[in-house]
Amino acid sequence: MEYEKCYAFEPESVRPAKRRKIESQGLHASWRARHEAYQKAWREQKQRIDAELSSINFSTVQELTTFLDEAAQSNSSEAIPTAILSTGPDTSSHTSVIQQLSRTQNAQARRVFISISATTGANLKALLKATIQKATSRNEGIDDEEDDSTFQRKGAKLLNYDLQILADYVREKRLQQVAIAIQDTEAFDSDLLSELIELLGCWLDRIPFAFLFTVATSLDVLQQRLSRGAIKCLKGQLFDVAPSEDEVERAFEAIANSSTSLWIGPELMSTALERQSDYIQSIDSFVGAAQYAYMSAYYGNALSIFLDSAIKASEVSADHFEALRNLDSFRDYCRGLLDNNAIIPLRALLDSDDSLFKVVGAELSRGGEALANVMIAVEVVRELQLWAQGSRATVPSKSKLYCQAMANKLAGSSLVRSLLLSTRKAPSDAAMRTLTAVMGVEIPKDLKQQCAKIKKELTEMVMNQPNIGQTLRSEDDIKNSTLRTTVVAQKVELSKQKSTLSKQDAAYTALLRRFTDLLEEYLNKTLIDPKSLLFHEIFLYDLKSPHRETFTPRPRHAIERALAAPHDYLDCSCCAPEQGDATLAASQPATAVLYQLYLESGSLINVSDLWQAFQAVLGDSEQTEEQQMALFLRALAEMRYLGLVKGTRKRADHIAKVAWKGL
Amino acid sequence: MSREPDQATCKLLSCTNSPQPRKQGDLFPSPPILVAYGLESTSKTEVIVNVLQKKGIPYTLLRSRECLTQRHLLSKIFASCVSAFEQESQIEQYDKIDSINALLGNLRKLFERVGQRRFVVVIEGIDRLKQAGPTLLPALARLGDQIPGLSVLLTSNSPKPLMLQRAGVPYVHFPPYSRAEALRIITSPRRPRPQADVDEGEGSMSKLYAQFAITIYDSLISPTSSTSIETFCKVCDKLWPIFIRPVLGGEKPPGTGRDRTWDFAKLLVKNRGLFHSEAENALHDTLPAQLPAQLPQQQTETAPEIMSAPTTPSKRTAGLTGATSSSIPASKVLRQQQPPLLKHFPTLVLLSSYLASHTAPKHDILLFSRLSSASSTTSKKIRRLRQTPTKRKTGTTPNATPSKTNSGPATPTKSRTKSIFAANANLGIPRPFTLERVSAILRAVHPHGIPNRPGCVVSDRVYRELGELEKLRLVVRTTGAGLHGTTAGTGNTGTAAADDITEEKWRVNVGRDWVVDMGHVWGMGVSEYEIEQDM
Repeated sequence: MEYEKCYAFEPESVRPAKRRKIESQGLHASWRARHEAYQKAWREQKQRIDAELSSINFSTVQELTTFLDEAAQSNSSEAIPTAILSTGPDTSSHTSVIQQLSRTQNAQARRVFISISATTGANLKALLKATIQKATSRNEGIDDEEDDSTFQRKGAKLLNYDLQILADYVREKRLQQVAIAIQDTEAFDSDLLSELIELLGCWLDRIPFAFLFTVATSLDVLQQRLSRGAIKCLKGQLFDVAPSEDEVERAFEAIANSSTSLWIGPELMSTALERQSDYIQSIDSFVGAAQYAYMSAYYGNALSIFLDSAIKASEVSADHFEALRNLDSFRDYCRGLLDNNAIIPLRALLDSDDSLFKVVGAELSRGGEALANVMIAVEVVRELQLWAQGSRATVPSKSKLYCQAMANKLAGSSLVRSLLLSTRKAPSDAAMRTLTAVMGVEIPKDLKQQCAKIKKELTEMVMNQPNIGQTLRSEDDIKNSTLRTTVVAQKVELSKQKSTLSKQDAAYTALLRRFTDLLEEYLNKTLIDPKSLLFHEIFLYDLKSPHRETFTPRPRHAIERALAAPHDYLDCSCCAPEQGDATLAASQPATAVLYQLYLESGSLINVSDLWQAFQAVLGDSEQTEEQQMALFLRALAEMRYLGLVKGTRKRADHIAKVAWKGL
Repeated sequence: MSREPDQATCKLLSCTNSPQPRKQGDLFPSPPILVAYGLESTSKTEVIVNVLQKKGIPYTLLRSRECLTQRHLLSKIFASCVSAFEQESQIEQYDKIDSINALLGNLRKLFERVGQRRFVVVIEGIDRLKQAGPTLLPALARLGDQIPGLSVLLTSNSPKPLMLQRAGVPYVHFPPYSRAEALRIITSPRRPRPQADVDEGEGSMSKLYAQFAITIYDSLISPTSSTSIETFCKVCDKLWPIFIRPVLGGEKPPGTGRDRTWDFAKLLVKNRGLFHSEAENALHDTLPAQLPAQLPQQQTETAPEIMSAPTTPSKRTAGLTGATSSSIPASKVLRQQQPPLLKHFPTLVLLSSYLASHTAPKHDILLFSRLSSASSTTSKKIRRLRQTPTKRKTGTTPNATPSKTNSGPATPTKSRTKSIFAANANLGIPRPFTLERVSAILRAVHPHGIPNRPGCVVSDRVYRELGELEKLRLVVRTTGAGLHGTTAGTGNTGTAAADDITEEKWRVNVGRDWVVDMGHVWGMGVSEYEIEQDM
């Protein structure tokens, strides 16, 4: 190829099989297949989540668009029309709002949409330069070399931060609006922001500006930061984006979708949800947590290879089947088979990989179905709650119910019982609504039929009652009975007296009982313990510790523990604590020894004392004093490096304690 | 900003008394430099532009507010001259404007080329120019000498004389509008009156309006912003529809008699609340706090709060810019409908940061240690520090602002002397704090307490949340010893902290009210950890 100046490199489609030094063996061999399975599974999930989240602020985007259109029409030159998006501190949602907005805007040529952030420029000049460039860069190349570079336009030389350029551009293109979105108003220097607003306000008669501010804190904070002149330039309107709780719920619903192959267990889910509700976190971190769960399930659990429905038995190595046979749930299943005297299928499962493979496939889809049914049951419970409690605000979120259901705490719980009871007491109109709501959920067919039957009967009953328009009342409602006290032989007797209830009411009560019994039976049947399903280890991922280590690391605690109890990490026989009490020992690392001495001292430490104590701990080891001193100095330097001590001006021979353990 | 021609002529009348060389330009050569000065919104530019237009003198108007640098201004001067003489095609022959010299050279060339022509460069608000060099003003003052035919007209909003380094510069003073002038402008028939389309007897309405304008001027404008016609206009426009609402709504006027009508006195009595609350708000420029969809209900909800807001002036809101006080009620309404702005833990971190910033380290052991409630001597000490033993107990309620104002006058002299003589009177400036301190305080103020198990370390979480709060600028990072160098004198920890400049430090960046508001959502207060002196 020496005669060619250049050539197209065409790699061979299959890489030459190279003998690897370490051939992955056993369960590791399936790593690549699992990686692909993960990619496939997560891609689907991610699409679902994205679709959910992008639709959440749809109405806000619409409102903003109309706001901008109106502002462009009105064309008043008094104050800059400003849309203020109050988003709350979880700052990922609003980027999507602005992005969605800009996406819709690009279609219209009459509006320029510029998005600037605090990093765009540190001073007004840079900010304006970037703004002008962004606005006018649709057809000309950007030259961001120097501030000296000037724009040549109709003869006159203009500095590149001169808004005249933009004004000319607007006139030339007959633009109706220059919308400037500022995504992180908090991050801006207040003076800079005020100056920018005032300056743009000056130009409003020539350039039709509009602002889009996103405010993560509150409006009065923004107002305090802006100068009065700047506020005078703004004519604002407040917009609201969906609160982060809604986002979390939507993302959760996408994650716990019934078509998912991997289910996230209650513990993990509740940890993630809790973190989301306690700290300032964007929805991205919740999605990230879900993705991490997927990754660790697929990468960590070799059996997850079976989750890929396209896998063939021949592609799975024997080790995986062996691992399958060692699962607890499989063992329980075999025990069950044995108890039922189903010896032959059991033997087949234990001996033949093929038959086991078939069972795995079937059982996995059955387990997924069962969990999907649990989700539906959760939905039913939620509907009941909604109608029982009236307002949406007081009802716990679906994600909480999910966690309860997956932990098998929902079936037969007091929550469900009280719900059914309150349904039993409901008057006919409320019962009608509940019925309709329950039928709206994707409940199994036979239940739906029965519900429909009950509904039909109820409708007839309401229609046929003598005084139409009155609701039927339930006998179970305490309001409909009165307590009567009678004194018989100096004893007070309480007797319940049903207040006058018509025949229809009695029939209605019976009907309601039928309905609640039906529901109860359904819920008890459907809300199973996911841990009782065969092969639940494969499709249910519920490990908290990887998640915790990754998302809430505790470096400080780790360092403190390593220094205070080095044995926990070293696991050496020499410093094993005797009978549980951690003691100082010469065998421990010098820094650890010094740290433990440091813990015992006050806020100012005399270095000489520390040295003596250190020497005493090292004691009668064979090191010379120089060696010990070297160790001591190195340990001290390490402590200083870790930020545990520092010198103090107060006393020359002392060091100051900076960090306290266990904070 | 479009101004009524009325104002300009009105202003002109008041100016004619002073001799204006520029107006006699037909007889004398125009002066190379003229300065018009006067407070803001005295229509300097409008008058100048109108006069120049009437005289038919070519001119260009440049606003120094629009110029970011001196160079920007210079290049704009040249560019406007070029475009005024329609010489854009020959722009290539001129140098780049990067200094005053270049401007002078170019202008000379330009004027030579186009021949002797008169031209006036009006530069508005020269005192507002950013990054102006010391030689700019003297140079501008001499530009007209160097280039025949060119005059420079500067306007300045400040009463300070400009440093022109030149004798004999004519100054024209534009005095603020007097009461009579302002009223004449506002009530002039050429100015469209708000809701003028109402035909409730045109004559009587304009009479009402005149009376209304006088009242507004005397009650609101003259004590606050008497110079600004704009504010006057705006307030009138805002309040007039509300004022005449009873007339338009067809309400029966009070009193007896058959043909009773709404006269000004009746309207004023009817609307007496208007001049208390809404008029004061009308003076402030505020960002709106209403969601578009909820406008109708919101207004009814906020109304009582607005009424009550100015009557309870707290010490702190008065200290802030006046604009904020009116916005607070509206945002409160908003917050009720929404989930809390900050979640539980960040609120706690914010609260601790506030306390860490506003508590002297020497009081830490009294306020935040276990001793503070247990030991009797310590509580005595605290009480002595707080100075009002029993009253301060009520301060545990989160909204301590009213209780503070109560206890304030009880011992005024004592606290004042104390704060004056205190070595570190910190004047409410937030001091920087370290991570160690804020996590220790957080442990102390946590409402449920943090279990003292080995794994339960909060500082890692605190560090993360501090980062988040920093992103929101509720807390800001300070470098080194921070703005308050006197921490060295406060005590042990203070000295130690001042030693190391590289240590990370933060300080809280929002006011007390805001922190209290945030804490209130979660039922946390700061007042129980405060000492009078520090507040």
